[in-house]
Amino acid sequence: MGQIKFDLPGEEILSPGHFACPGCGATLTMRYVLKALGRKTIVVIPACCWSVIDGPVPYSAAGVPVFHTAFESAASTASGIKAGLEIQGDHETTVVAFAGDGGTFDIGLQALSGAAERNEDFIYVCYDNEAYMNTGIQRSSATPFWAWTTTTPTESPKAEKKKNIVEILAAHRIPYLATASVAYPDDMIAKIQRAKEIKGTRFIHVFSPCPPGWKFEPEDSIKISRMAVESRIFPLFEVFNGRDYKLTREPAGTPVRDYLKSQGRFRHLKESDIQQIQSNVDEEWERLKGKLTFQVESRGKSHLHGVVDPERNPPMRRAIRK
Amino acid sequence: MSLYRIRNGNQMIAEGAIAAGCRFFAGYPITPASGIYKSMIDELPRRCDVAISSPDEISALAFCVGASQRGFKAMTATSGPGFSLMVETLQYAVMTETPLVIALVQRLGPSTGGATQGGQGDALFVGHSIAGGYTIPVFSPSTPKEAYELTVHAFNVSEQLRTPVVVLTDKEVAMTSENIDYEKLAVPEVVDRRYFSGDGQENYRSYFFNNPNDVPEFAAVGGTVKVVVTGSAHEMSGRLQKNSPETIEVLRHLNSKIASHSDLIMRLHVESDDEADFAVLSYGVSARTAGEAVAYLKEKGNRVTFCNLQTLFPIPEKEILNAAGNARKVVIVEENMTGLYKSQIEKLFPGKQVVGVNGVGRMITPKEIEEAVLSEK
Repeated sequence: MGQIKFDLPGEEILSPGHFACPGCGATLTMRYVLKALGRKTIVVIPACCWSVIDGPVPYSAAGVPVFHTAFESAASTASGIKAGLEIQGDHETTVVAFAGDGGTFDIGLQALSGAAERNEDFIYVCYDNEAYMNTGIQRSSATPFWAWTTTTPTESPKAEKKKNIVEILAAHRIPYLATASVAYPDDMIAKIQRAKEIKGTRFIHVFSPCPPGWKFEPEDSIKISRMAVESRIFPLFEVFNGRDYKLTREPAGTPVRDYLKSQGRFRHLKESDIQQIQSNVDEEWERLKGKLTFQVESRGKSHLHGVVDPERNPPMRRAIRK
Repeated sequence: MSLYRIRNGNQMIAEGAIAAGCRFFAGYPITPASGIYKSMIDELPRRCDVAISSPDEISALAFCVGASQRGFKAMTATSGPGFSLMVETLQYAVMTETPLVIALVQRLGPSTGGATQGGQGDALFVGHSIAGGYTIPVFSPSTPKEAYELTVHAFNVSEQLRTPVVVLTDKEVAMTSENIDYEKLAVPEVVDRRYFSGDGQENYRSYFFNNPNDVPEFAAVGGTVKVVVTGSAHEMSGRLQKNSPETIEVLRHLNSKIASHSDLIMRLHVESDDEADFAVLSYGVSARTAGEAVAYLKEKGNRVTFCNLQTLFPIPEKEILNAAGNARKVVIVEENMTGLYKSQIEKLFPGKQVVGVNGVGRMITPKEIEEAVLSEK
């Protein structure tokens, strides 16, 4: 495999000494988000792993102001902080709501939906570790089909499919949303930098592996994240205005089996279960591809690059590939 | 004969609920109450009953209201922040006379507070959580054994009085495991709600009572008779009327059905001494240390009455006075800043010395209690 070199912003705003478990995807996500956004950023965190990871007051690993808020209210609090900044004439500081899947897919969805409908001007980053990890691995609506959690034990694993949060947000027609993975930091940082240049509600859905919750060794976090992308379980793409879909990485289409076999939470799966998950993934992928194709045929190639009104949204600064 | 098992308070609340006939549970993850959620998820489906993961606490309690109105005994479990979200639906359950049980495992508040730090700061919040000043029964176990017994009792009370009931425990009781002798469990007989005994729509009114102290007969929504379930002020038929005399009568009934059934509700553990100089009153985990302190004091020859307030609301005024009325000094032990429950009961002891022993963010030690009892100040 050829080596790809790319430059990431050099400054480490997130400092070591945080409280995360080894191999934590959420912590890598925060690291890249802060790299991409710089120090003029306020982070709003509801109840989630990151409300612990940041460290006990007065210590904070984040390196930027962190506002801990109630579980259901990340998007509302972020809206309020942004409004406060606007009133004070600060149009530069970026407000980021940084929430887990429970605080986004479940209890925080109402606040998020309201903010998206009003097109509140902030970036919402959901680090999705696919369960309530901080309280002891209880299932959320982001938990994938047939996965083990403490509340979906192996004798009756989760029988419902993962909620498609991206489609929910796309239906709000927000100016920008993207999926990202800690295995592709250049892609993630480029997306967050692009989001920074756009006004309105921007949503980044980050695939965020959790070694203790998914039962795998911490050193495999990146490998597993890459497998999720390559097997099309978690494709990397952008959606502009809830309408224009753009794939940012063509996945290899490897079988989901390897991905599933890499984690203890799927250890109970039978061959037929794996087949069913494969066909679910294939179906979702076809659906997504259909949206991409539609763009190409009906609008012409230029729309593949995406875009939003150039007046409102200056083009993104790409990470430099050499 | 003994049958020992290692159990914590959360597990015993779950087991007690099932013993009481609970067939529906809705949960949302929150430390330190997640153990109840986990136990119910493990156990209820095996019995072909239902345990649901809800997307938030508002939904969790609303699930229970729905299940209960179909005739199932239902429970949810939470801690302070989750209970805060449940309050609207809790009031709805009071207004609609819906039997259900909430297990509230206290943590250090306010807000997110200390998720893994115990506390006893929610008693007044729970006891006064109903707009308009209505009372819901609140029970407070101090051991896993009591957690089991009081949960069964809580279901019985909720069924008989058609009211939501709170089992108020705390992190230490809920999450500390100990050896339980199942043969020694004093399990009350399980009682179910009274169903509509007549027949025909013309004879049925959803909130009908002859005497305001009576509890309306229950009929399941969507059953043989049309049931009106509404959180709006209503007459006995369920007809919305904001302030007709009958509506006010129904509201008065919501209070009096609780107040008039104090014999049915009250549970206290009292070790009384007719010649007592001192009375030590406590609840929850603090009652454990208070009990220990009382034992030390008695060993040293002091005359002490001990009262474990297993019932916090309605306030067991008569029972407290019976137990502690003759003591010259009353000491109330609870793990909060200002002595919350003390503020509710000190008026029962006019002219007497009433002292609080309190602690925040830590458990109270027997020594502190001993000193407070013997102190001349």
